[in-house]
Amino acid sequence: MNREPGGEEMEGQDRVPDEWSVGGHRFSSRLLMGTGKFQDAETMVGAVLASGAQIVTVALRRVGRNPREDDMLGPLGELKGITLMPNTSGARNASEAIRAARLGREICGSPFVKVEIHPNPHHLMPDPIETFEAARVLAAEGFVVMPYMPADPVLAKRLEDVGCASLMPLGSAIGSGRGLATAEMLRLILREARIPVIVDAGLRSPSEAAAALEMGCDAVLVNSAVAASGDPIAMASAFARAVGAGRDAHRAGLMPQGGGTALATSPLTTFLSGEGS
Amino acid sequence: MTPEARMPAWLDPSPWLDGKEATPTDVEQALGCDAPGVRELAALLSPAAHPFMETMAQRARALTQRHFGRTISMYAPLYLANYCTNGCAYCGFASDRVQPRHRLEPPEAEEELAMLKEMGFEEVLLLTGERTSHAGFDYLLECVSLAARRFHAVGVEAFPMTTREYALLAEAGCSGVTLYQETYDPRQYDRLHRWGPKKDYLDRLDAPARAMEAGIRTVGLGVLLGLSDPAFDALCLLRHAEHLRRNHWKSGITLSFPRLRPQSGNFSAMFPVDEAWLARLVFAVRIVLPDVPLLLSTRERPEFRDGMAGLGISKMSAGSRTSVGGYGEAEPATEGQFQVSDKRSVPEFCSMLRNRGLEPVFKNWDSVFRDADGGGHG
Amino acid sequence: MNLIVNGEAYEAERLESVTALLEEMGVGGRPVVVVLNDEVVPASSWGACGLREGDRVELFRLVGGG
Repeated sequence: MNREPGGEEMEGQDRVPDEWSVGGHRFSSRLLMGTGKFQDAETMVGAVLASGAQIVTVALRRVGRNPREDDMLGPLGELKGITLMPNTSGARNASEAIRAARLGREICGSPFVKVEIHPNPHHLMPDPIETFEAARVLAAEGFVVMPYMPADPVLAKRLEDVGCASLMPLGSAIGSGRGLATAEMLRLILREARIPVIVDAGLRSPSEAAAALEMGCDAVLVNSAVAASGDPIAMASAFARAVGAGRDAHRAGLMPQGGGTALATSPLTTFLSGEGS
Repeated sequence: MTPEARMPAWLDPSPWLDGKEATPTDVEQALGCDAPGVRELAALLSPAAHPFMETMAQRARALTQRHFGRTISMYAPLYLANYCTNGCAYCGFASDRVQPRHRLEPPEAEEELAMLKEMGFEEVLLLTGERTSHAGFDYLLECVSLAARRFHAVGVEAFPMTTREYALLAEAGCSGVTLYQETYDPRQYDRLHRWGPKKDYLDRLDAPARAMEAGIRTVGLGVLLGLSDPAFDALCLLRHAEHLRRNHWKSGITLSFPRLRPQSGNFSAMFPVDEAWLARLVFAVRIVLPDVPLLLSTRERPEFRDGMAGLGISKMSAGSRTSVGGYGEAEPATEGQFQVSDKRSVPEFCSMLRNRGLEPVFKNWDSVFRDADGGGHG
Repeated sequence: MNLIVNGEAYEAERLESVTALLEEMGVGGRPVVVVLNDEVVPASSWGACGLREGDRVELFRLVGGG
């Protein structure tokens, strides 16, 4: 579809550079990275660097019994050009998520927040009602709200209406690796979205990330697919290249699928005459 | 508005057009495209697409069946008044055209509405000219209230209004607002609208959005084919529809393509459009916007309407009068806004539809679900 | 001096400021959010913010997450 990139109005076909913006901030990388599930800080940082990600999610937890335990994120904070985006995972409802967002802003100093509310600890599907409520409140407080959401086109417009900066519909359940199970819903969301659409959760392979970008999504977020792969740093790099390829393909315009022009029935247009002017 | 009014960026289709004539390959690509947009519509409207008419017709029919079933929605236009202060070069009601000006008084409007109801209609479109002291907003509001008591769907096609005015109409039971930009080319627009409030291109352009903001459920857009380059106007129409859809997701859109027929009236089209082109336009728009209702009025001849019903076209009027009132008369006493070419009665028209495997649908929804104050249905 | 830190009883020795408490706990110098009796204490105020018997303190830090 001829979709305006990043939800902005096009002023002309700009081929270079291909940036997108969210919450008033411009980014060139369309790959977002999560930092969970890595075996150690060194691998995590290596993967983030290899991915070229400029937005990186983190979570908040209470300081543990042993406050001297490994600081996974110290080295991350020192990297340049990275926007840390706290998520509200752990929150089971809107008020917990709102609290978590405020704490996250305090510690990161950034207005970005990924609203992530999954009350069911097994399938981790996002709660649409609590997410909407949290997004509404946080957007009004000036957060750059990026809601993790079911791939529902009406919910997408509701979240847009209350001031979210982007949409983060799931491709499939977190960690499930089932890829773009929600593709048809994503297409509907893309058709009407005025803000960036970032597919989050469930991607397993770089080809799936490329497919998301080919479809017209503005970006993707991956975590498990990298952290749980055989070689996270190599996989992160593969994802980066796949996202770039998918984006380039989208802008180039895929060739049409075959079988469009066969004529099946008797002619329908014989009623048209030269007359009628 | 001055002649320098520009097309807003959201409307302008030029970023998607490279200025080159489309080739048959471009047309095939457009037909194979998963999510067609401006570029694909341009290809389907180019001369290179003419040989693909039959293919496009078949695709249009399949898509229309998928989204609308084998049905045609029926509606009736009712001209409430033909007073007008505009100087539109192409219109039979322009203020410098000598013809008797008249408005229906509420009891007369009631009579016309009763007759339309007798004819089987459940959806009526109320029309007036530009806002005048004879037939202004208050008059229109009153007529909408009257109509909403009898009809499940009441539309108006009148003049650009404020958001507040649209909200009042919506409360009174108005479910649709039709407002054609006529042509999206600002210079042509300025030239053709010689005087009057309609000269304001931008105000008219933004009115459908205001209607949607005010809670009007459906907005009807359209272009008067023949005023400007029809392909360009069609692309702008698509842009307009996409823009409204993105920004007002709870409202619906319908599209219409009235065609200037050179032999009627004193105005000849600068860019005449023949039936074949109009048909291809309908097919192309159906392909690019599979789920938007497309209208065809009685302005077109019967055989054309018969052929187009269901080939993209999903909504039609029948037995129409285009002069003020007129439904009680066998032949209208005064000249209408345009000449009716398909003069068939409603039963004749419906019989044609059924013979072609299409079901005429008069009622699409039940207004009993409207809020109690909104003039519930009797 | 008894405080409740992260929901559990904690015997604090240094109470003159949040900064002192953090140092005592071994958290000094690391990015944390401090919530004292349900209100966030901005980092700029840690040095000036004193603690009292029975205060509820919560400390949060960033960890990996998706």
